[in-house]
Amino acid sequence: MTVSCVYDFNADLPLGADLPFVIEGDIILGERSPFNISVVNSVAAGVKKDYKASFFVEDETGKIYPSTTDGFSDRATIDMSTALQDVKYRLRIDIKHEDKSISHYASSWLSPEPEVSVSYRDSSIYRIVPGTAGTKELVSKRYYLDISSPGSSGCYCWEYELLIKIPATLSEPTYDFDPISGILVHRGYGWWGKSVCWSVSQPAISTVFSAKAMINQELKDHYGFSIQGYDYLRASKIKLKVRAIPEGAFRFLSTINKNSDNTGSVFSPVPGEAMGNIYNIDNPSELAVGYVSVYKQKETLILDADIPNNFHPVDGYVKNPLEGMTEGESELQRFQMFYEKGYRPYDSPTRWVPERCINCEMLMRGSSVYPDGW
Amino acid sequence: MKRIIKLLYILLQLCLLALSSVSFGQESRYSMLYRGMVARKYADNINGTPYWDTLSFKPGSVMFNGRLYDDVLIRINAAEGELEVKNSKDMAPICPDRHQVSWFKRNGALFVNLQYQGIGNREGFFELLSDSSPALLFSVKKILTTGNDTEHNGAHIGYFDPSYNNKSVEYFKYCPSWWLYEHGKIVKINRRKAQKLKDRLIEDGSFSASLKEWHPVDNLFMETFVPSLNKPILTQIDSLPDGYFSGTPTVVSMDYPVFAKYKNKLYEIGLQRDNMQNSDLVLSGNVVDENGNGLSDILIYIEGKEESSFKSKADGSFIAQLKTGEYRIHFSGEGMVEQCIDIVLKGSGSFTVLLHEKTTMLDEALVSGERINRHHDASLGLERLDLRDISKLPAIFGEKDLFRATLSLPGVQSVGELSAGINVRGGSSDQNLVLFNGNTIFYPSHFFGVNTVFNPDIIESVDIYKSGAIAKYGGRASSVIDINSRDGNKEKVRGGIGLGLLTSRFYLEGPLTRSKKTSFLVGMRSSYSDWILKRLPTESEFRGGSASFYDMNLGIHHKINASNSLKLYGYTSSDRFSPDSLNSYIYRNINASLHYCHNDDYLNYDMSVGYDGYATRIEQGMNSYEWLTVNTAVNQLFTRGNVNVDLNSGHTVGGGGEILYYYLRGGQRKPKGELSRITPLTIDPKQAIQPSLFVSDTWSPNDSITIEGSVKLSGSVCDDCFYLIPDMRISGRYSLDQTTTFKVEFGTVSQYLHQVTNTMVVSPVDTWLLSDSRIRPTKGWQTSAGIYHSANGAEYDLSIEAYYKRLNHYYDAMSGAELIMNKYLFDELVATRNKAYGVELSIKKNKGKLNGWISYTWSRSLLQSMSDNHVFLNQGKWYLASSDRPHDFKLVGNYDFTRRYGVSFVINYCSGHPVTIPEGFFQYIGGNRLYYSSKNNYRIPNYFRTDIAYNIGAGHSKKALLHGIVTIGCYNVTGRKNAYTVYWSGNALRGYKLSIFSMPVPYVSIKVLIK
Repeated sequence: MTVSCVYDFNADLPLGADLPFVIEGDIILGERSPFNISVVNSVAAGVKKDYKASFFVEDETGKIYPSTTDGFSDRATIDMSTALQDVKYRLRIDIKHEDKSISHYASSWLSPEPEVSVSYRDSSIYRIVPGTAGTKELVSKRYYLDISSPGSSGCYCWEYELLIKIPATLSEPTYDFDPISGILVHRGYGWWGKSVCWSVSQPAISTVFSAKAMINQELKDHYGFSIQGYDYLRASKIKLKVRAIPEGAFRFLSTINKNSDNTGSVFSPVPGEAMGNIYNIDNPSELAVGYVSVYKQKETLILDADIPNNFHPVDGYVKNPLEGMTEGESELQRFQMFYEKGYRPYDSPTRWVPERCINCEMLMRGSSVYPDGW
Repeated sequence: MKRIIKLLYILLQLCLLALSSVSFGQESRYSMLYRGMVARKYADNINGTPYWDTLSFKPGSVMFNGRLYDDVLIRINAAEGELEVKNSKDMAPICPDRHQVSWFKRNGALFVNLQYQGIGNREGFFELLSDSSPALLFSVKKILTTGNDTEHNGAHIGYFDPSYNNKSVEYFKYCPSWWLYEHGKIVKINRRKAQKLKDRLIEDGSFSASLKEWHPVDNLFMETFVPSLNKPILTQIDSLPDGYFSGTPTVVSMDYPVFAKYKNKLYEIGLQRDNMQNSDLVLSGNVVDENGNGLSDILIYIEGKEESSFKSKADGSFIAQLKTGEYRIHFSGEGMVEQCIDIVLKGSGSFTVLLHEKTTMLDEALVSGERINRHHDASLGLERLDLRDISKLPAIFGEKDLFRATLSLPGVQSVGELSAGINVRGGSSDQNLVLFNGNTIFYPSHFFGVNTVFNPDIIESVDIYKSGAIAKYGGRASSVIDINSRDGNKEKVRGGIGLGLLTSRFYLEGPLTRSKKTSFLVGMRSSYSDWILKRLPTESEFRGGSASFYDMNLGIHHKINASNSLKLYGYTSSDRFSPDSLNSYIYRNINASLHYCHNDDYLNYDMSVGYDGYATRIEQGMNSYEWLTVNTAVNQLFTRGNVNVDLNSGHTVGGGGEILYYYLRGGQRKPKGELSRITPLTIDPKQAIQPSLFVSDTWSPNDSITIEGSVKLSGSVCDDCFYLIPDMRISGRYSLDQTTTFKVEFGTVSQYLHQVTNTMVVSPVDTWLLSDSRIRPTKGWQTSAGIYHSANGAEYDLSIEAYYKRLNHYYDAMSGAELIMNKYLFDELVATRNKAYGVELSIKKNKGKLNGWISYTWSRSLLQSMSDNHVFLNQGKWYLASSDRPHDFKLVGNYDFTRRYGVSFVINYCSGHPVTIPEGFFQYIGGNRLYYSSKNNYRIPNYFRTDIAYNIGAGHSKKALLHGIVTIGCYNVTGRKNAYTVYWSGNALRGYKLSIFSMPVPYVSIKVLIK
């Protein structure tokens, strides 16, 4: 008899709490290093202020590496392709509100972590398809890693990029707008154009692991990640990124992972503050959320398949009487509007092409999951 | 070996006597009369007594070495021919050199030492029966001999013994003799001639003539005789008081022992004499069990013209000074049925009271000892669990749990439902010292907290000291939980079996030797949770795992004599939990100790040596390459001793010390399996010697006031530093009357051993640390005050206690701290200061069919980072300790339909414990992350639970071999979904509440006693 259960729980949170900045990104030597800045979203209030931030990296010789864009409006990128391996760096952020500089943040001075060497092996897990005479189906692909980095802290971080090139054709229907009912009346299909929908999938959480207990602080045949068979068969690229990280970064990332993955078990660690290394220069006790590391990343291309653009018609269009539709508005524009506003159609006799599979080329981004029915 | 022990004992006695006479000497007590040897005590299993008439001391005067001593309490050892004296009821009897006693008067009777007077060579004392010429003298000799009389209840021994034991072969044979003294010669006469002479003396009035005051001249025999009291020495008492069956009051108009066995009878003690109305009479006696063994620590509460309360001595004896009048005397002790005797006290006298064990009770009532204690000593925060009450209380799965029963007391809270630790007055769980027979138990729970490690069938007492400032038990900052097992039964082998849903248990006890001086007690408990796990649903994450535990107890008790005993204890427990084939958690307690105890009226001390061990083993790994084992261990060797000396009535001096040697294996990591690439690592072991010494003093200048104080000096010598910390405690009691008492207390505490954790509850693999140059001892102080009131004839007890305490250097873990196998553990810890305060209210109903208690506690406990390592939790501001639960209400009740059938219930409502919850979320490395509030800034929902149990007690038949005790109950009757903890999932940003028991949990528990 199981008597323990898990129930929903809502806490009464106070409104209007001042929440800290979140600064995400690492100084990646030899590459363009992206940085994001945001504010912790309050569960209760959700009030956002209009901030602007400029990023730059400075090294101990005084050289400045500026960012290209404003960190709040979009991802800021700092070109570190000319950075040296053996000097210390730190990230600087100046934050403005209503054109007034309100705070200056900086990371601590950081030495680059040594580069890692990586190898991997994979193993495939199959299952027999029910109702067939022994037809095997790939369930998942698992990757096991060997990682070493002499002179590093023994803490590693990796993630993979999975690029799935899903061919799709959006068929634009023809329809009339009925002003009385306020709905679009489907009149049939028309060929408007052909688009390829790309789905870029990567794990939500970078994996971190400390090999301090291992011989030479090396990981040997350590389980790294797995890819569902369905995705693997459609994948065009699988790229593995591995780097050594400082122990502080390992602890920070472990903590935010644990904080977010608390299973509520009896011996779950108590959630707590994740101690980053970015602080307010004017008030060093005020920390931003985030940990900046400096490293040279090791990229390994596990899969590089050339998948042709096979176009398949998709029965996808939308009817949304609430929003109405102006004449001349394309379906793709409608999709984009829905996507950005997060709207869903309702009571549609036709199939909705979910927001996850819109014209990725047009929207300049992909999605992390494949569409229903694909 | 026996000789060595005896020699040590004698040396110790002499040392202590010398010490006490030098250090604490008082002229009256240590005058020449009291410089003799301590009177001999006899084994319990000898029928009869070695004494002239009764066990009791009677007032009188003694001519010793040419000096007259008045106000002496006197008893005559007719087996040894010795005089036993003491000057107060609390003093141990002393045998002065009998060759220096020329005469003495005892309760008006005159005894002379003929040898001292130069008359004949016969040793011993003679009672002068008449002042005639010739003078009639009487002598009693008790001879230790063998032989029993199973059919006539001991008639052969020549006098009545209320505690006569058919199975004992030794007895004191009664040998009276009569003597005539005339013309400087003494001649023995037979009983018939003595009777004739007595009759003649009575006829001519010389036997009962009014006395002339006797002025003896040393070295000269008396010229005028002083008649003794006309004690009917030839009369014996029947075994049952007259009128028992008729229900009329029983009148025992003799100065002989009364065997008070029955309730609702009126016993008349002593003879009515003139001028006795306002004089102090001595009421003495013995409290014995069914085997005739004296019962120590029985609480005796006298109601009536005068009221007093005290405990029986080690041999079961007691003595009180009262005026004539009617009294009701209550006798109560743990595990015994309360006895209530009504007496009419007309003169000094004694009586023996038989108390029955609870399991075969004829009557039942709750112990009111706690009430008496609270009005009698100055201790605050001491709670003694009534084991009979506990055995009735509902328990999860029917597993009776004495340790967890402490949670029903005010000021004691659980870390979490079914978790291992408890919080006492806002302290952390490692600040509680858990002692089992004097051994330290480092992790007192099985199965991560489902069950505690103490087999309930063998437990005799559970005391909890909510103030950590107890000199005798120092070393922890919050509380001491002192659990003791029973001594094995010395008369017969008996045992019990308990069947529960999770565990089964048994115990067996009995004598080891024919002399019945040595007894054993073994107990064992084992789970069958492996069996349960294999039957979990397929989708359960624990299916296929294994979980098991057991514990075993051994106790051997050897009674050297009435005052001295040796005890040997052994204990081990083991737990193993394996969720899968690679991961296991194993932890073990192992304890052993040897105790030497001495208890008498005057002096008690105990010495012990032992070993306490706690070891953990973790096996874990994600694959064969990372498979590892981590072993840690806490080893403690200890030797300690305590002594208490009663200087005189109301003044006790104590002292003692201990030496602890710790050897902590911080961790040893090893690869497991051939493929493992784990590097071995050993954290350097830590060791420390922690000696301590203390002295204590308890002084009661009168019945209303008691002052207790102690000073303790403790130290810790570790690898790289040395600490020396003085601690003190002072407490005082002032009683307005027998029902209302005020107490105050102040004490300091220090603690050199720490446990650090970063999980929700106390984990068996949490790390223990010794204080060193970086991790400083926890130090602090606590003050408390209380008011206690008993109402309606002790039916109700009301108490209010308030406390405030401060501690420094309590170590909290930083977020994400790695506490296991960490060479630099200090860097993961944050020293904090703790302040805790609260008020505990309690109302207890002691008697009646409905009994129990209600308590409400308001308390707070807060922490603040110190600046030791420049890391601050919560930005250095005060934050709530995990144990902060401001409101705690408890209602515990029993309703007895009959003596055998009853219901018990527990209602508990308390504030939820503090938690840290997310106030926001943010995006980081591709996912939603939670931003947590300041530490412990919120609470889980308040806790409410109601349990109920229907109890069917043991049958009343004393002859039945088996007795069944059945409990049918339900835990969490209302099915409230109490939150054990709350947590959030990062992706969905939803809060969840984990409820351990989210529905009513019914159970049946069966216990079989083998008598």
